[in-house]
Amino acid sequence: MKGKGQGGARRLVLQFAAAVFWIGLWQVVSMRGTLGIFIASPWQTVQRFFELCLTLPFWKALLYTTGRILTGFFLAVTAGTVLSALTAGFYWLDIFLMPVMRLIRTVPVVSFVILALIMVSSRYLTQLISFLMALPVVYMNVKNGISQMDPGLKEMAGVFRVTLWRKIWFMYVPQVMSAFETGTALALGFAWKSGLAAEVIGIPSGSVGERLQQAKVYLNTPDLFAWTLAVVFVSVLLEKGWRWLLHCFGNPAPVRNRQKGEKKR
Amino acid sequence: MKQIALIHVGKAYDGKYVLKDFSASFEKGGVYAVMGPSGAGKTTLLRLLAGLEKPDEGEITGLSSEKIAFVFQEDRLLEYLDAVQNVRFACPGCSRKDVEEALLHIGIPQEDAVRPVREYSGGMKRRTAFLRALMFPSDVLFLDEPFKGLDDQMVSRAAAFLLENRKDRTVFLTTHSRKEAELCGAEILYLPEISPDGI
Repeated sequence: MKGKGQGGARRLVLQFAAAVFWIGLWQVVSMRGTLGIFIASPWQTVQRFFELCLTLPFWKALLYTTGRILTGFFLAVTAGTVLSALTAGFYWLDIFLMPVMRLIRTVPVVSFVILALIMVSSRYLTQLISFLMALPVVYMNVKNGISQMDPGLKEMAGVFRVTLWRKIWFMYVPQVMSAFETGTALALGFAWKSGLAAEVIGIPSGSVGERLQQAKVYLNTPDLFAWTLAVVFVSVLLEKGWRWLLHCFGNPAPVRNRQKGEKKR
Repeated sequence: MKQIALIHVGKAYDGKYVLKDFSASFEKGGVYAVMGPSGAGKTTLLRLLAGLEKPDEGEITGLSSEKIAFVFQEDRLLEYLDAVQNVRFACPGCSRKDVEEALLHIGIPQEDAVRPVREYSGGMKRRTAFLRALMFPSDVLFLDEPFKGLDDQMVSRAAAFLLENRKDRTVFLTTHSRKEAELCGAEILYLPEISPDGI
């Protein structure tokens, strides 16, 4: 145990040293003549970030973008889960949907953005692009999770005439949960990045994408870096929050964490 | 007495017969032990009777409308649920108290009954699967090697529990042990091994 603890502390020190090194390098580069004009220093970034935090438009823009990306993401999670669940009963549906899912995964996001801008208002661009980028990831992961269900358990449930809802809740949800968690966490990252990229191209009014675009136009790198920092924070928070939600409410295994002597259900 | 009958039943996997031209009849409400060497088709016979597989030849009568319960050769438990929840998964009408009492009878005390079955020994899992089938309200019980992995004392306990609680259900069990069949008061049906040429 002692060795393991020492190893952990050593790793922590190394990680800290690595972070200091890269931030130091960033500081050095930002101080170099011409490059310095284009790269805000870490201090300028943090300073600008806190300045932005004290303004209402900053929070409005973050809320606007996060809300729209999450709308697209949740729509993709719902559609992807329902569609993949349906493929368990209708195998032809998977054959039917697969070309579309593969197409969405392969076509560059920018092509979808341009197409979407031609067809829909830029107000709906973020939701649409986030939805499109997250959908195939959720669909494929959940479908794989379902397809790995033990056929012996399915037969057992059939013999004992277990109702569909009990099968879904006690057999499928725990089986698929790990694939669902992986898929949705990945999809959330995709939705976030593609949604922002779409905003930078489509420039919907009041969005983070618009702020990033403005920062680029005015060569305002402290703003660009501060917004990027905010985006990274929100992205990490969302992913952690999503995983936490799934751990709290997503697993129906009632005995998973129950200790001996604890109150029974 | 109504009868269950297999009439010239044949079943083959990849062209190799496991059962060929097999006929037998059973009275409903009886206890039958299917014995025979490994590969003789004991499990296949049970699965055919239970309707989990269709015969390639012949027909099976007398079971089409019956409600069945099955102890599979593998336990087929939901590993993250405890024993009580596994039984109630199949039998939601069974009360928690009844299941806990029944588990106690077959040697699973209450403190173990609330642990996930993935933490159980092979024997405990087997007994849970056995109880799940026994508590499920059925007309016919199919028990494929139900006492596999249990010691002699536990086999006697489980067999006694089966006899006490089977009510008037028909029971088909497979076993390699004549003693287990006798403990269950079963009529023995011996399946000979089919030669490679299908005779």
